[in-house]
Order: sequence, then structure tokens, then C-alpha cells
Amino acid sequence: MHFDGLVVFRDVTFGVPAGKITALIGPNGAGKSTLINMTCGVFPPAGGTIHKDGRDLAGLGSPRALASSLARTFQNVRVFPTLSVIENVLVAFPGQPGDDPLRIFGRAAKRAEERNREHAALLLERVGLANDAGRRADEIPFGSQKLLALVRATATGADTLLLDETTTGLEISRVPLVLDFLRALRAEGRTILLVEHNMDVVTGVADSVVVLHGTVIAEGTPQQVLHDEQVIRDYLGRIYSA
Amino acid sequence: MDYFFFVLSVICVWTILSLAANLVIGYSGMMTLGHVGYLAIGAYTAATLNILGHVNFYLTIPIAMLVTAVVALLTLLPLLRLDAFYLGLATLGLNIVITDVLQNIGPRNPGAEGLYGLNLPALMTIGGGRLAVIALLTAIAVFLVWQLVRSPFGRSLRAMRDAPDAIESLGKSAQRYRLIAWTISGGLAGLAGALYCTTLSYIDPTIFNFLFSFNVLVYIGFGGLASIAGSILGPTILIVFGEALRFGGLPSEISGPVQQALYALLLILVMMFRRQGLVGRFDFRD
Repeated sequence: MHFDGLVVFRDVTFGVPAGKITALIGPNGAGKSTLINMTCGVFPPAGGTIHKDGRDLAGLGSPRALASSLARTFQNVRVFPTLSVIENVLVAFPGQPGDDPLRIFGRAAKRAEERNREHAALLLERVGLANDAGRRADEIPFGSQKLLALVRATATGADTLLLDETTTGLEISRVPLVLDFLRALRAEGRTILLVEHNMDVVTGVADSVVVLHGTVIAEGTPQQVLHDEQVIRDYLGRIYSA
Repeated sequence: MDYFFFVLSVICVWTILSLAANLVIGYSGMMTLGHVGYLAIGAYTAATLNILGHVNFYLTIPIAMLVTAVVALLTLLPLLRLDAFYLGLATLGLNIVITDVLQNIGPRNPGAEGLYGLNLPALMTIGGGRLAVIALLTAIAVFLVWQLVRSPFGRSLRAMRDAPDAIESLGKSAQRYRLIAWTISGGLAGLAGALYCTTLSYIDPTIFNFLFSFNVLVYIGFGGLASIAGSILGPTILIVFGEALRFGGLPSEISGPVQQALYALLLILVMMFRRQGLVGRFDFRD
């Protein structure tokens, strides 16, 4: 992948096993967020393929076209600032009858809305945002917005989640909530690609780790990767111990 | 008493047009500087059908709404990818084109430059009856728009306004919401136009000057962006204020310019101290 001649990464090949959590780590500027943008269709790769369920996603087009099976969070959050916390989640539910102006008065719309509100409230409770449900999204702290973005992506029902630095800016005391949430998603059978800088999170939930630095320099279990000499030299700086 | 009914009727018409403009500006984050062009289409459709086509006036109302909605949709399609500033400029041009077309080849009574002689239903030939019909239709429009913006559609519309890329990532098309909101807005402008021509004795394109579109911006800027109450309060307060100036002892030749100057001053003050308007819920900084 390159932008105006600047090569971000090349020869990147790795797998994200279905129903598992794969952590993608690497130094700043390695292209982790770029990889997510590419996978979600924001821009096409300069070359190569991105396979999911037997389909090549590369160049399929818009993020919207892929959203039924892929959901993502953004590195810079991107909540809907003037909507309330719970409205941010409600927007994400797919197939709402009330999203069609001709059906807003129908009973199906009302029932779906009630159901979605209950589901949204439960999701918010799991990440400790239940008390903030009625607040505007731009009024809650940055770390809470990160959790909101995670819940919103989950609400889409997509089987694959691409999560970009979910715990960055989050209070340390809330990290265990995120780990429990991710484990629950895995138990549901969701596939997760997790971009992270927090090694506690990586060792806490990841089934496998991929290290990106111009190309893939290591891939394996957390134990294998975090003891890899090149990873220590190019990224960690030391042997990580939990 | 007729004057009182007339002023209230005009307030209702501008309330509907303010709702239409707020739907695309406040709720959708787009910009329009030419919605009076759609008002003109609604007025001309209703008046032409009634005066030249001898169609019952009540029937001309839904036809005017449909025609204006379709025109709104077709005129937005080539402009859909423009951001708010350039869209605003384009709609300004659109307003001028619409009034120019109506002026040069628009329908008119034989020998006249415009249309006159609306054949209104009996109830609407008296001031109170006309106000009752206009007020009822305004109340219905307010209720429907209120329900629309409270619905999941309205919620997605506001989300699209806030972050179009984020809503695309959820599988929803930002362009779809823009198109639907604009089309509904066009229909509302058509309704306002059809009702507006009942308050006029003579309908010609010069009435629908693009400067009138600025009045709509003032009404919703003052009343409140992304607010149903603001769409009602803005025109109500400002039109009453403007009419009150007539009784303030100003000579008639300067009361109009003074009114415009006071509107402008009011708008400047609101933009400086309360950008979202009296009861608005959205600020373009958001």
C-alpha cells in the first residue's frame, strides 16, 4: 500500500481465524489503521487480495457494501456527537422498519424500536455506560466514546469486527470490562481483528498476534510473538512480561 | 379581523416552508439558499391547475406537493456530491433559473404576466375559513415532520449529518438519507406554495425572488436549527415583529427596508450569541 509514492507496507500476508481474536500490533505509522481502512473498502489496495468467506473484498467498493459482514471502529472514534449515547447504538441496528419514512407509523417499527432499545441498554450496561445512555455522545469522556464505538460496532450484528485501538484513552480500571466484552463476543462466534498498543490487552484476550512493521515481521501466539527477537528489537524494546 | 386572519395564514405558510428548510439544513446538514424556488413551483402548479385547468383547489394541493417533490429530487441528483457551501450556491442559482423560466414561459392568464382569479372552495373564500384550512394543513405538516424526525429515520438522518463516513461504515447510505430528506422537503415547499397562492390576488414570478429564501434562513436561524418548535417560533415572532413595525408610525415607504435591516441585525446578534437559535438543537460547529 502506498500514498503518493510513500510505501506504507508491502507483502503483507496473514490470516484472521474465524471465531478468534487476532491482535495486530506494531509501531506508530506501521499502517495498522490503513490496513483496516483498506479491508473496509475506504480505499483499494495497490495490489493483492483480501479474502473473506471465499470472496475477494479488495476493490469491492464502498464501506457500505461490506458493512453487512464487517464492522469497524475508528482510531479517532467518530461517534455521532449530537446524538445521545443510546441513539448512537440504536442507529447501528440493521433492518429497522422505522428507517423507512413510509413505515414509521407501523406496528413493526414500534416493536422493533422497543426491542432494539432493550438490546442497546443491555450492551451499554456491559461496558459500564448505562448511566450515560441519555447524555450527548460528545459530552462523555474520550475513553467512554471508545467504548461506545465498540458497542455500536457490535450492534450491527456483523460477524467480523475490526477494532482500532479500543482501549487507547481508556481508564485502566475499565480495561477488564473491555476484555470481558471481547471474550463474550468471541464466545458468540464473532471474529475480531484488534489493533492494540496495550500488551496487557493483547496477552489477556488474543488467540494470535500479527506484528506489522513495513511488512509482517512476526505471527503466532502472544507468547511466541512477544519473545521474538525482531519484535523486541523493532517494537517492544524489551521482553514483555504480564 | 381579515387582516388578522391574513397574517396568521402567512405565518402558517412560512412555518411549513421553515420546516422544509430545517429538514435539509438543521436535520440533514445540507444547505439551501433557493427553497423559495420550490415554493414557486408549488404555487404555480396549484394556481395553473385551478385557474387554467379548472381543477378543484383541494385537489391541486396534493398534486402541487407531488410535482414539487419530484422537481426537488431531480434537481438535487446532479448536486448530491457537493458539500454544504457549494450546494447552497447551486440552489441559489436554481431559484433564479426557476423564476426566470416561470417569467418567460410560465403559465399565465391571457394578456397578463401572471395568474389571477383562483376559484377557491366556498370555505376558503372567507378569511376565517381560509385560515382554518391553512392552519389544519400546517398542523398536519408539523405533526408528520415531528414524527419523522423522532423516528429511526430521523435518528439516522441526524447521524448522517454528524458523521457521514461513520454511518456508511454501519451499512447505511448517506446519499439515500439526503435524497429522501430533500424530496420530502420539496413536497412541503409545494404544500406551502399551494397555500401561499390563496393569500395572493395575483401570482407572478417576481414574488418568488431568491431574496425571499434568505427570509427562510433568518426564520430558522432565529427560531432554531434542527427544531420543530424553532421552525414555528422563528416565522411567528419575526412576522409579527415585522407587522408590528407597520403600526409603529414609520412611513410605509421605509417600513420595508427598516424591517429588512432589523431582521439582518437580529440575525447577526443571534449568530454571535446563540448560534443554534432560540430553541435549536444543532450548531454547524458540531
